[in-house]
Amino acid sequence: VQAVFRFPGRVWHLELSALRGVLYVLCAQKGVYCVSLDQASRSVSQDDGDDSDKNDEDSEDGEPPCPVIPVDPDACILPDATLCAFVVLDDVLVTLAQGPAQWKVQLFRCHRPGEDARPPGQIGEVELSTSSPLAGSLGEPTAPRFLPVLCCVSPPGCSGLCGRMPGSGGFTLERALFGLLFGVDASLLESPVILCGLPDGQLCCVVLKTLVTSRLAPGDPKALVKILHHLEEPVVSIGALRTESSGENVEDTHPDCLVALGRHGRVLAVKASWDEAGDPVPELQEDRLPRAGAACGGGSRVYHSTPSDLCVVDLARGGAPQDPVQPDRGSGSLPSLLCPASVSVCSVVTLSVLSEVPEGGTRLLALSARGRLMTCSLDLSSEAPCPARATVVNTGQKIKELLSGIGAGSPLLGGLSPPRLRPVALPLTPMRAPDAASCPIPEVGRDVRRVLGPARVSSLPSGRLSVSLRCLSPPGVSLGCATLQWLLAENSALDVVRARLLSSVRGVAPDGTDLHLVVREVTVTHLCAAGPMQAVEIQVESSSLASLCQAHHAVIGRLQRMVVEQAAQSSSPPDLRVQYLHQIQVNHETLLREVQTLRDRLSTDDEAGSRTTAERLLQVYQQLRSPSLLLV
Amino acid sequence: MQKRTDLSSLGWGPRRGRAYLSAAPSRGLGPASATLSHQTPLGSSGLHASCLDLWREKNDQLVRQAKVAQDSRQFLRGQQLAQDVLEGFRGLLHSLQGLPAAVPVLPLELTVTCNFITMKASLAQGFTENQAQDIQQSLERVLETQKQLGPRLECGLRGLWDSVLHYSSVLLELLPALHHLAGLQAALWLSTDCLGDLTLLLQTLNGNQSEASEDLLHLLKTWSPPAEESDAPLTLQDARGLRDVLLTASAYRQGLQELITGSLPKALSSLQEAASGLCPRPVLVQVYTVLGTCLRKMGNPQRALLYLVAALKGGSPWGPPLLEASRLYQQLGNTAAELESLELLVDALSVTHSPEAPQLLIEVELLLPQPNPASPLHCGTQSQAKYLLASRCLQIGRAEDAAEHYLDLLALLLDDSEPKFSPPPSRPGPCMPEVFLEAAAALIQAGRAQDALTVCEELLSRMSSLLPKMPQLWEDARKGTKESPHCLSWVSATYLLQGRAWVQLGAQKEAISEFSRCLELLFQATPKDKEQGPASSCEQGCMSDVALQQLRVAALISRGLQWVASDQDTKALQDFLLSVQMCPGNRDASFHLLQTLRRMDRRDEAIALWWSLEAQAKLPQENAAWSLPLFLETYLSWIRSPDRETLLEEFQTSLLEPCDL
Repeated sequence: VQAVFRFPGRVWHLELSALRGVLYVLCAQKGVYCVSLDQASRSVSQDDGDDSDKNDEDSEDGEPPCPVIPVDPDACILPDATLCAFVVLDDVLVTLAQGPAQWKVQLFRCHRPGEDARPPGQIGEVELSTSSPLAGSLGEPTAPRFLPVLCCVSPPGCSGLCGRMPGSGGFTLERALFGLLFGVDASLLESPVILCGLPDGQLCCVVLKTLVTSRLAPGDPKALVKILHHLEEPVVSIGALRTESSGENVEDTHPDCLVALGRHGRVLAVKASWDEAGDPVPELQEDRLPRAGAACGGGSRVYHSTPSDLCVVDLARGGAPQDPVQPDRGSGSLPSLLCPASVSVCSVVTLSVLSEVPEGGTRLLALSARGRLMTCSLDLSSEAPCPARATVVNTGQKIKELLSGIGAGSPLLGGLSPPRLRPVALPLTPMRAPDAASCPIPEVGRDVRRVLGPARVSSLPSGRLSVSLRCLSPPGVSLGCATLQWLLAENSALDVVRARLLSSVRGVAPDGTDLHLVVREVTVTHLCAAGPMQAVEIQVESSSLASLCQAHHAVIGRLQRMVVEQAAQSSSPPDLRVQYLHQIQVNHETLLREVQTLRDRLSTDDEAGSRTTAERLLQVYQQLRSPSLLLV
Repeated sequence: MQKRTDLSSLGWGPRRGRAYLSAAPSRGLGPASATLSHQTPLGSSGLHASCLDLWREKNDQLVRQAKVAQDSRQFLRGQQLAQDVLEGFRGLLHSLQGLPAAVPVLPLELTVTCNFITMKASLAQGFTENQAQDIQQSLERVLETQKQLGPRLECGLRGLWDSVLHYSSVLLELLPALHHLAGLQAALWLSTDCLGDLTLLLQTLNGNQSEASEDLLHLLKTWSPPAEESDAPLTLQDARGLRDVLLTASAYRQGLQELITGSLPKALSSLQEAASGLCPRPVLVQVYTVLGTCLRKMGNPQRALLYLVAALKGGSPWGPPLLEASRLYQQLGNTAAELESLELLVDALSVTHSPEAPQLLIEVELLLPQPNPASPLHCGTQSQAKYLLASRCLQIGRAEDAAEHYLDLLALLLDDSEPKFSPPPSRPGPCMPEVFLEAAAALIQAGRAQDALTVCEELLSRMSSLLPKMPQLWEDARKGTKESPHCLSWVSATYLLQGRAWVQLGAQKEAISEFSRCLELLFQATPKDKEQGPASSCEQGCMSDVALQQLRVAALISRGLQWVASDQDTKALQDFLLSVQMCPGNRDASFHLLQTLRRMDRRDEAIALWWSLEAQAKLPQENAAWSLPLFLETYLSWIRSPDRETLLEEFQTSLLEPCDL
């Protein structure tokens, strides 16, 4: 850790401009700050090690004290409380601001800090339409519940502006797909395109060069903004993958597949394809993955985190059967079904691909909700059937080791530390997609807030990763409390539960909804062949169906794992109907899918239809809750 | 008129007098109570007066701070300061509104609200729904003191204003601040085009004396906000200043609207009203420009010119008056001046403007509608102006100039090696392929065939990725009846121009081969849809049916002419015949066919064709209804014989007369 910056507000997004040696940071409801990294390294001195460093030492096992540099208000190059996202392209700053009724994309030409006292000159603006009301009803500007995503897509060989954007959240798409998605003008102009993923699910694009407007007139949205797709759930990530091997076309090895990921796991993949007449047509595919947190892409795979897991989806393979009749079509097409493989790493809030090995292995850099930076080495053998088998190595590596491992480079950002959130500068130079690493701050920020209160659970399903069996009833501890401790192992609320001998907790799910976990002792008769037995009942309550299902699902998953592990270790497997537990899980997965389908339908149905759907939804909801969970 | 003494009988003392707070229990929440308990213990005498003084002093201090922010040379520093002031006002307002409303505090509270709204709107460069809510809350606070809250809330802001102004006769102290707030409400309604509400509010403010008048400008002129007392809390902008701003803005908006709807004399009078009022220089330039547009449309070009000259006097040249001047000169037929205006426009638009620090008050600019592309004030960007210049040159036959301007334009659009980039001409203008094709056409017109070929090659290479996969799949396309592939029409048009360039270079073989490629593409591409789009619907990557048809005819005639030049009359005849079949009404095609028939001595067919031509000529001409892309118009002019009609007359004598004998 070379330097720590303290910003006057929560950091929502940051981008490094390596070329200029500056860091652009968006602070919640403040605006965009520009910090010179040279300046930072110069002003680093031991005097800066104040009390916050002591906290650091407490929490991070003697991390070296890092100098804290308070960011000067003058570093704010774009004071605007409504900014929600930005990308930097050389000296052009593209921002997305939340207007009273609409999202607004604005284009600024900015100056180096200290070089020019003038503010960035606005050179373009266009409004994006949106279906949902944005601003809060009261006078104060309200932060959006989900942040929009901005990224910049360039055509291959785009020189100048778009060619000079190392470190920014951009990628290049192969020509055919680029032309199909963004049109003939963007292709002829070889202009970068700004992609916006909005919280209402819209995925729209603006050709950057067309966005430059005269000072007096904002651009006409009808002419400038094209809605590519509507994901119908908040867009959390936009990226690109290479799904076809570059064998036949050596010169164009750029990504050929645009991927957008929704908050609830809906994934959209677009590729260029050719119809029978040879005309290029876009091939769109939508599928559902487990609810997504962070995501990144590498090669042909999407790595994405869910509250309880880290999954890998290979868009090139994905289990698509080779069609012998149409061999041409088979190779170019997207898999018909996306089948995510579990990597069994939980609570990852941000991800980035560190390196890829040609044989199919990948090293990922992941930041956990608790501020732990890990490298995960995945061995995804190309011969493995879907789902691929993953092994986890090296997880939980401490920052310090990591640093020594990848060497000291120019400072970049990571982020961590409860009780107080501070952005921490880390050398991340070897990273291939630095943008992905810039998401952690907001994500950690959100979770940190929730963890702060006592007896609050940040994210309930804290892990299938490192579950070890514990004695359920240590002396003096009720079965209920012990169970709860087991369930919350690795969770920050564990200490409180242990200290107060609690058998129920109330927490907040990552999406902000309440969650209530109650564990009580019961006697069951039907489960064990040997007769009635003592057991505990775990009750999950939540006002949100989604949170309930997820918690429910996580608890079952955990139980199943425990049973399997126990069976492997012990010579006498417990007299449990494992099959029964397994069946519960399968049922739940089916029901969960139905819930999502019903909820999707609910938003499109007419009044009569929606009543039927709502009734069915209620039934499923009850079904989901009915088989009480049992744990011995 | 009631006097202040009437109020004292109600038990309210002078502004800084009584312990009004003791009359009502504190709500005990929010910053207000925190401030109170922090400052002095509750209940001590003189507390409330000193508290009011404190708040008032805070307000005055914030106003002074705003002036500092305004005068700050450093834009960003100024913006930060202004943000701080805004937050200061917000906090102060929270303090004031944390307590039950009381008449003696209300003047200050309303003034702070006005300052807050003014600050907020000027920083955001516009009004939002939030400001309406701020106003509503203030009005409710006023009514709260009169115990008159409840059912009236349903009437919305207008109902609230009616009630508040109804009570204002007994709340004389509030009158100046209420008028100030009303001025802000008027600004908000003006900027959101709620003119009905605005008119009613002004009528009420004017005491309904001029009941009959619904004329907004008249109402604004007669509205006389009471003068603020010298010891009143400081304001960022007083009600009278606001009134003047409103008057200018209303007159301008009204004039612009009347101009767009075509009520020209009314527009003229409204705009002159705007120009005569309080009008900052940038607004005056706008008003003069619109006056120029108005007078041009009224058929007074000389007066229009005077206004435009006035608009351009002093200060850096500004786009809209230059664009308007070019339109005026075009109408007057003064081509040289028209082009010069456009050149100046290009220069004027090359300057990027850094934002100027906004005034921290409600300015006229804040209340003006944003110019849309239909507005006379819309002048686009530098590259758009450059395109206008280039295409005008091509249209009026200044080929060399056109070629240069098109090359400049392409450089501007495509070269982003320096961090300065320019948008393409916006819709509804030509799309990028058309710009390339026009550039090539201009180059050919200027005799620069080699350069034209370069432009065409560049276009083809940039479009290559959008084309169907080559080559075997093309065979499938040829067999099927598939819709026209993406961009195919642009590619074929490029081949056509390349062919023409080869013609100019004297390379007949290459020319024929390009024309053949063009035709091959065009004949496999059937029209995309039956519905007929505009001439330049680029989104689909195709041209209109009419344009495609003309493109085919042009290619056929071009190739036919090459066959003629190489003495292959039979092949030429085939192409001309086909072109006549494709487009029977096309006189060029018929003419070339006629000449070929004549040369081949196929007399009878020639005579029959001549008769059909004659019959067509007598029919009313209807082909002016559609417009073709500029490059195609230009191209068609190349294959048209200038002396077509005289030659046709010649035919009459040479072909027909011997027949009559």
